[in-house]
Amino acid sequence: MNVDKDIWAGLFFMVLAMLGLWIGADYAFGTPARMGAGFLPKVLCWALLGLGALVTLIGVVKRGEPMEAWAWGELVAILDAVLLFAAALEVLGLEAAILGAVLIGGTGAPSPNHFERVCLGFAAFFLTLFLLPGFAVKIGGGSIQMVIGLLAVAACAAAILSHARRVPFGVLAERVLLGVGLGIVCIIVFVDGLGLTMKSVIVTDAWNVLKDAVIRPVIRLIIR
Amino acid sequence: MDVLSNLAHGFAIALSLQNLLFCLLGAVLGTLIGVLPGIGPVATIAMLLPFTFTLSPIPALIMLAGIYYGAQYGGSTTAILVNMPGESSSVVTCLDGYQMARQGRAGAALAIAAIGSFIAGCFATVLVAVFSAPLTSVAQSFGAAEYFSLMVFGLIAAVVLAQGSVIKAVAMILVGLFLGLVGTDVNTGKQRFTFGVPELSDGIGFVPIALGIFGLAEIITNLSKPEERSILSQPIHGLMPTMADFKQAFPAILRGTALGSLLGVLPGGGAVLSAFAAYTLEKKIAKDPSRFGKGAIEGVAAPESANNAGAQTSFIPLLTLGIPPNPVMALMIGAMMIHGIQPGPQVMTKQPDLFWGLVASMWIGNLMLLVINLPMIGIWVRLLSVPYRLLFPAILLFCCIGVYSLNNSAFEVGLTALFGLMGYFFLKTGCEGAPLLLGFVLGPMMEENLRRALLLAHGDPAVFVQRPISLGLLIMSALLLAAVVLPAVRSTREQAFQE
Repeated sequence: MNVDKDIWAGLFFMVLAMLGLWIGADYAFGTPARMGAGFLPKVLCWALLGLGALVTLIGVVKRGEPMEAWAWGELVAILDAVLLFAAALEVLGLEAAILGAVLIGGTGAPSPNHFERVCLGFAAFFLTLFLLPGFAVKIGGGSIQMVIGLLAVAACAAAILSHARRVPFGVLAERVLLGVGLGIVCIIVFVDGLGLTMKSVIVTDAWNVLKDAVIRPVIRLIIR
Repeated sequence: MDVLSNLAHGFAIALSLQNLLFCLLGAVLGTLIGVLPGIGPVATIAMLLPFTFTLSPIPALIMLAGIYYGAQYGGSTTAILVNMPGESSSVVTCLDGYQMARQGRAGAALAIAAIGSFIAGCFATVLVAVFSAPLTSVAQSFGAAEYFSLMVFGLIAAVVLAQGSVIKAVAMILVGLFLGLVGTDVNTGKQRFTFGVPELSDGIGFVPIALGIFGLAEIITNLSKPEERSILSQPIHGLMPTMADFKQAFPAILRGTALGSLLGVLPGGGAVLSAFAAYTLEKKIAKDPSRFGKGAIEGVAAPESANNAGAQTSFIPLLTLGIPPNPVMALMIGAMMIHGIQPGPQVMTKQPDLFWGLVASMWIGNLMLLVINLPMIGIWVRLLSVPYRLLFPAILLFCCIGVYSLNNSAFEVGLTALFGLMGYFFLKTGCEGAPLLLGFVLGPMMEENLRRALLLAHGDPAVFVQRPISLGLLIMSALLLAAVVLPAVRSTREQAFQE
């Protein structure tokens, strides 16, 4: 679309301001001496609305540069990777989250085709739903949330599979290796080293076994 | 002298083994991200914030500070050798630095950049030590009205010195202030814009905002750009510049240092602006301006000294007034608050160990950076051959883990994705992220001070113009804003940014 940058920016400011005014409509305004919770939000939103209108007007009058094309493939891939990480972390553990994020993020490296974009778009939608706290519960308890989660996984899997068909095997293998490697590094550094609490299943257990069975005895041996 | 004994005390703290170690770690990390394009100090510091939880505040802040000024050293390396700025503050260094490298003078350029940075760093450290005490005592007499006006001034100045459209920058500040409103209202206990989400009742975390807008958006942009790297093939020989080089560069280093120190203190200033201004100044006063862009050594010396000086003096408003002049300092405020330190003038009196330890560590860090950068330059250059397709998943994961471990909240990771989308939109529409982050950090403090000031004055807004300091600050803000809108100043400002 050949619409000026400023018009987009101005419209965004205006929409945000109107949302703020609408949601904050019932916050008490108060008096300057005893301000209510709504005093500053309302003042800010009106100011933002005015500035947004001004920016839009400048865009209409000046006809500056149009907005550059968006890199949709890369955008959706990266945002999906983050959303997937968030969704998988507490359900499946850190290893699955890291591997999933690397694979999904990887689809952004060479630009994906339309099928993948659609899949990633759906994945983003379901992942967002899945992550919104309270939302799934409000509309019908855990089973709906599970369905949403499964749909998200399916959409992600479709994108990854379709992508895997197009890229050479070496690229994919490199990415899997990278994911596994990063997973091990992250767990050793962050979970084991810095003591951050994060649900992790496979690698932590394996690492603990390794520590107890091999590393600690060796260290003891050396110290003796 | 008081300053000297305080500095000695600071050095005693900074020289403890743990603090030295974290200073080194910060300097190395800073150089690393400075060398690697596509990840800046804002994203790195935001990413590492949660990992400083386990540390005590002094080593944590020493490390984070080291990242910022370390990045200024590292950024010059790639600018000179690859013609690709590792940091935005090194953009101008490319102009002459790369030309020098093509003429076979890469070693001299690197050495001058490092030496200039070191001289600037030493000078700026002294400035921080000397000027902090008087500023702190001024700030201690501030009431709510003065603080409010000071923050207004800070935000306005940040807009004026920012690049791009002024109106959009003001709007971005408002967006930042608006985002800062989310959460429980401290005075009335009312939940504002939380949508009933419990994770939002404490407000939006600034790490998701900073990482989304500065981290994720940057990764997406980098991915959509084709990778182009032409590492200088000829080996670097002879690190030492000649006597003639020194003679030419030394005055430029001094000018860059002075200008950078000044601009670093100003709200909205910092490393990037300092470097641009220093280069413009050198070009203006040079006898033969046509040499610039063709390998003039002053064109490397001045901006590199200026960005390092600016990076360091921008700590002055942070440590004395509690006002962040740029996004990196906004994150430092966050780091202080994570460790239970209320930023502001009381830091110096209540936490002298932290204050003077941090100041002393800056000088030590600069010394370390000289060693890290000059003899070890080969290692850093080799790092550049790591392709971005292997690099970005790691950056992405560190972002995710960093956000999650802050509050163990998957919701905040999702929020980061939302702000990533927003940040990308802002990039594409030419809106600056920096004013948003400043507004977001200052927002709650501003509201608090505004309310207190008006409560004490029984709702009379005249309180802001009746108190002289407050009035002065407001007049200065108005003048600044008026100056930018005036056509004559506007054209020179645009010209200055174009150069």
